[in-house]
Amino acid sequence: MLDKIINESKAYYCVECRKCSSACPVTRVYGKFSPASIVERALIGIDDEILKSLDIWKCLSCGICEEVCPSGVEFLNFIRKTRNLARKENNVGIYAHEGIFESLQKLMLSNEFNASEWLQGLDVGEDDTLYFAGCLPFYDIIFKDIGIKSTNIGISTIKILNSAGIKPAVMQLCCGHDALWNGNVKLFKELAKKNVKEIKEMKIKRIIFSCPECYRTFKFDYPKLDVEMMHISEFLEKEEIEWNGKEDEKTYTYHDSCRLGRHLGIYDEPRNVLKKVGIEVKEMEHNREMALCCGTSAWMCCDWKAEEMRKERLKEASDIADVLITSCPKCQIHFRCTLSHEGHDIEVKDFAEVVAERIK
Amino acid sequence: MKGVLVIGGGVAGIQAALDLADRGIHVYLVEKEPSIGGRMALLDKTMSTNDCSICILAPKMNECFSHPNIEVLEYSEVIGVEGKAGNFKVKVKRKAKYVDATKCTGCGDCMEKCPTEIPNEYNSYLDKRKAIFLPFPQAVPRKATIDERYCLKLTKNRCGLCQKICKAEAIDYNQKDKIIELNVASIIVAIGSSLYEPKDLVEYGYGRYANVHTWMEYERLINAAGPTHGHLKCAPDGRRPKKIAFIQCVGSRDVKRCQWCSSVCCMVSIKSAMLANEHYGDLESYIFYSDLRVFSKRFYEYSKRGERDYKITYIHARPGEIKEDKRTKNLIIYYEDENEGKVKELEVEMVILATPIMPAKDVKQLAEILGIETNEYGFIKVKDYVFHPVETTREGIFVAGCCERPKDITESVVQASAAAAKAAEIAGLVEG
Repeated sequence: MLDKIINESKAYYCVECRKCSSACPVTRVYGKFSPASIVERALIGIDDEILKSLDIWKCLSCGICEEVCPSGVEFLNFIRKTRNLARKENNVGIYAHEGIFESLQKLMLSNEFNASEWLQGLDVGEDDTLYFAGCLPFYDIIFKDIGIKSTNIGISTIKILNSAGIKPAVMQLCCGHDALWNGNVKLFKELAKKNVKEIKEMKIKRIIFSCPECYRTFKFDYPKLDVEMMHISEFLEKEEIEWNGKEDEKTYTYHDSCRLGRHLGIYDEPRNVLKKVGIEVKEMEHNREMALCCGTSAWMCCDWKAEEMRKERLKEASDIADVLITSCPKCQIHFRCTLSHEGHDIEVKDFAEVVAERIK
Repeated sequence: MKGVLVIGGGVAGIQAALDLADRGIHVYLVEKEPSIGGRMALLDKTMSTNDCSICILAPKMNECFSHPNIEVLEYSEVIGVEGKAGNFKVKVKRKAKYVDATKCTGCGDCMEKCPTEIPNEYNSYLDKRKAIFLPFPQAVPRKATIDERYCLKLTKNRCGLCQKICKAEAIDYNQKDKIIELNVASIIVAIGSSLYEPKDLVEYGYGRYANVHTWMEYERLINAAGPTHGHLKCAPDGRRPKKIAFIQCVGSRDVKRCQWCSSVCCMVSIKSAMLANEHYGDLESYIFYSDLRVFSKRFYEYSKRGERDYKITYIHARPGEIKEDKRTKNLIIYYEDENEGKVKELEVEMVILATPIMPAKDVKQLAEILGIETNEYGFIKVKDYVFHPVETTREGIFVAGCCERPKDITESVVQASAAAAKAAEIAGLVEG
């Protein structure tokens, strides 16, 4: 059953050096999970064991394994496709938050679903640039208790675009990222179809993302859209922006999210933009290609292991800085969750929020 | 009889030149550095006999230089080739050394006085050398060279100390590059290799961690003529290590970097671990390998001997990360134990990365001048691996040593002798 996936993900190139496992953040805290041994088991043909195992849901798809793999095995491709197959055998993993997010994603397929109050009073909707906000607005209610205001990321992004003379059209719909990574290809395809149809009708020339997951999904997993796509940091790097001179005594560090960093290769742009607005990023021990993960992806298997990873990342950050700048709304949620019950002397802020505060 | 041109004065070039010269064929040996010897001259010991590398090479270097049939053109580059097999017209640029070689005695007074210090490429940049220099103590010819890129007199018209101090009056700031023309029957290319710089393998911290070195750096560190006079020293306090680790295939057998097996590194690391233990009897080494490729005669026994007599432990794993202890500068290696199936940590004081042998930096340029092809990896292409292992894609031009593909000294010498035989054949035909 896994033969096709082995071929498509080049898993047969594995030389069993086990470098992936020793770099994997999950294996570090939970030795029983090992990308190398999953691939090895697949290669010797114990498909059944893999497809029934909960192990395949523990992968964060953070991509460190692919980063260090000398043989070019596409483990993320492997795990995503295996999940799709496992799902057909009723192995669906353990959803965080009782699966509310998948329900939300399904609800978003309906045309009546709307949450655009947060856009009131903002200068939007008159341009051939689209700001794809993704599912940002829906987090505010769910994570109210830990002080999440994801809409601030959206508001900040729109303000930044406004200051560059752009009044973007705004879309807020799930891109399907989580469904795809959780093996629910059917739901992903439905969401993608809806998004693509709406975007084609809008006749826009450019899409700007604040969420790396949406950007990644549009870039690699969607059918080809004939529009320019970029992350807000890429947009800002090319723009002539100026710092408003507002100073604070704080030191800043930057967390490379796995999607923006390892998946999309965007490392320098956010750093260069932060420099333009007067922030000299202090680097954590693990940065850029080797950045640690926030502990959970696609709202799957969020447990003590995730917590351990977050604690380590927050410690790295709080050792050197007062503010941890994240570039993915989910990283922020995850870190804030840990901060709500663990004492780390660090503030977490999104890239767009920080830039919006400091731009002229 | 027309002579033969040998490009590159490493062990392969030297062997080829001596073979030809002993048969009465005139040889021009072009070397781009101020001394012949190549990489072998910089190695500490050779495997698998653990002989002192320079001790066995130096007599060959001297024999080569003083051979009546060999004309060594050091500090020179081939800049043009015309003609065909049996009748090549070659242009060679002899770079100005700003030192009159007929007068220089190699005493070293100038080097002591020279105020300009620059990173020493002959010691893997681990220490400094002067702007007027000898590459290494056993250099052949033992004549000083002024590095025009850094000399204060040549760049800013200041200083002039070397000229003042030189008793032999050998310093000549007005020397110019010279172009000479040679007419040869055949050509042997033996320009050697370059080494991968593993900075992009950020997981191993090379360049960031003081106690992470490449194998070539280690060769200099463990060498008595090297920057630490053969003592292994660890940052931050210069203490000698008790536990060191070697990581194999760092950049090689890697689809994103060098796809080939560098073929010598397994043995090099075993040798290096043995030497460390010979220096310090209580020192333990760990070698992290993907496959221990000890394939030649008695190599396997050598690896076993390392395990038995030199406190070497072999671990089948490619480590995923190295972390540095900020205080002690010790290194913590993360690897997955294949038997227990869990990630383990090993703390050592020094890590040596087995980085691959790569094509020489200027190989493309030279290949173009010579009208020969390189293969998909940038090594010089041979006509056929089985029956034409020393013929390049152009008739009359042969290849030997690491510029053809990574190989050890023994294999380089074998190939050099083969290339010499082929080159001699053409030289002989021309006469007949």
